[in-house]
Amino acid sequence: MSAEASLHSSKGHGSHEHEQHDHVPTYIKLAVVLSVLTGVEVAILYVALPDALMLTGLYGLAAVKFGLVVAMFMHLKYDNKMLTGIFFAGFTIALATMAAMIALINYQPSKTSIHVKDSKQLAALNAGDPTKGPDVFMAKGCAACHAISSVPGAVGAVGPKLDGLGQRAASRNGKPAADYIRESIENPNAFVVEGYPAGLMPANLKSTMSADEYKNLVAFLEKL
Amino acid sequence: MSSAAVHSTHHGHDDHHHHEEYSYTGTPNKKIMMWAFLASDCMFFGTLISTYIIYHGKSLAAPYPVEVLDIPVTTASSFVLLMSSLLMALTVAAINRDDLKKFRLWIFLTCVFGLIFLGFQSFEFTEFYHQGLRIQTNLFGSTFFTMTGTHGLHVALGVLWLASWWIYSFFGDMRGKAIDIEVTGLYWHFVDIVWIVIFTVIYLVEFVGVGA
Repeated sequence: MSAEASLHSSKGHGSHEHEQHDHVPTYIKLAVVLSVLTGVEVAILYVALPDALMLTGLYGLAAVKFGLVVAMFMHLKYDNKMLTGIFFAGFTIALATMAAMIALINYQPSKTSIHVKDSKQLAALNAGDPTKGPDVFMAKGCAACHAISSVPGAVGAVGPKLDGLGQRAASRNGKPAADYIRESIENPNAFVVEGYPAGLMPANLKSTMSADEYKNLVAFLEKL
Repeated sequence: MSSAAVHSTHHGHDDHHHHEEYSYTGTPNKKIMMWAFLASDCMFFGTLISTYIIYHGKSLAAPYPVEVLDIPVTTASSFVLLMSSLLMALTVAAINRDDLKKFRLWIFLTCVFGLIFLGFQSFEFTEFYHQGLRIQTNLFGSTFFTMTGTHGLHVALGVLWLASWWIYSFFGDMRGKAIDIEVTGLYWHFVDIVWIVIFTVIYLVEFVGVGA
């Protein structure tokens, strides 16, 4: 193990080297500080604070951790300042590019751009208004063939009565109720209720309604 | 510089002072190279992170970040990576003291911590997959897996680099290698600071106003 005799070579090569100092206690203290800061970051999420304060705290702590690791573990603090310059030149360009990209994307005023946080919001966005469903049901002539007790005038008996459709639909084909209802409108012969003739219901009904009318109708039928 | 390069290939003669390549600035060229690479890697990760931010909230299919991100698990993995930075710093301090035994211990543990972090990431990716999040599922999936996957790849390369130094230390001559270890360490710490940013921007900030 002669290699252990003298592994180090850079001694005497300039005053910027720092192996004379024992950095180990500093490193350990730093690790403790970094752990505590990480704990505080996570704890912030569990405390009721104004959002702006939370964001400031989270980004601030991340910046402090970042700075500590770069300055101490990566010892930029003790090293040639040129290295700090090289690194932070790249870092600044990266940060500026990020800021520019994010700002420019949000600058485009686009009506088609939407911001959804979770599945519930998305569902709400796609959901029709069931209270407007009966009007569509009457206006598009569905009532001529289908009866619904809760809709006055919907007394047709050519096709199946739709009371309780939402519950029945859920048990058909193992698909969500809305999917079954949409399938029955768009492709009536995919499933024909026993006792009723196939090929009687027009397959073009969807094309007679606007997207909103269709959504409202499905939302209403789903609730039956 | 070229005259120094000739000397640097000589090992094991009486002169224990291995001649490194120093630039005019008095700083080893290898170190300058690594810092320049890390500066460029900042831009690489900057692009991936801003892409995530730009497409955040624009997914038109579930699952959404708040529905799958796991703060306790990620806190644990972040802590492991943070502590691996301490181990890396101890590794560099040991080689600077010519303490080969400690060097081997610390560099080995750095590798182990890196592998634990990768284990956490595999667990997370598998969980997400089972919850229906694939890279092609939505914008969240695409940007998330690309960014954290690239980071994971950096960690994996770091582990390989460190592991090869560990193995080398049993068969090769470690004299004059302190600077190489330090440069490997810079790369390793960089992977840690990138994760400090990702942990905050992608994980913690997501739950502001929602609660963890």
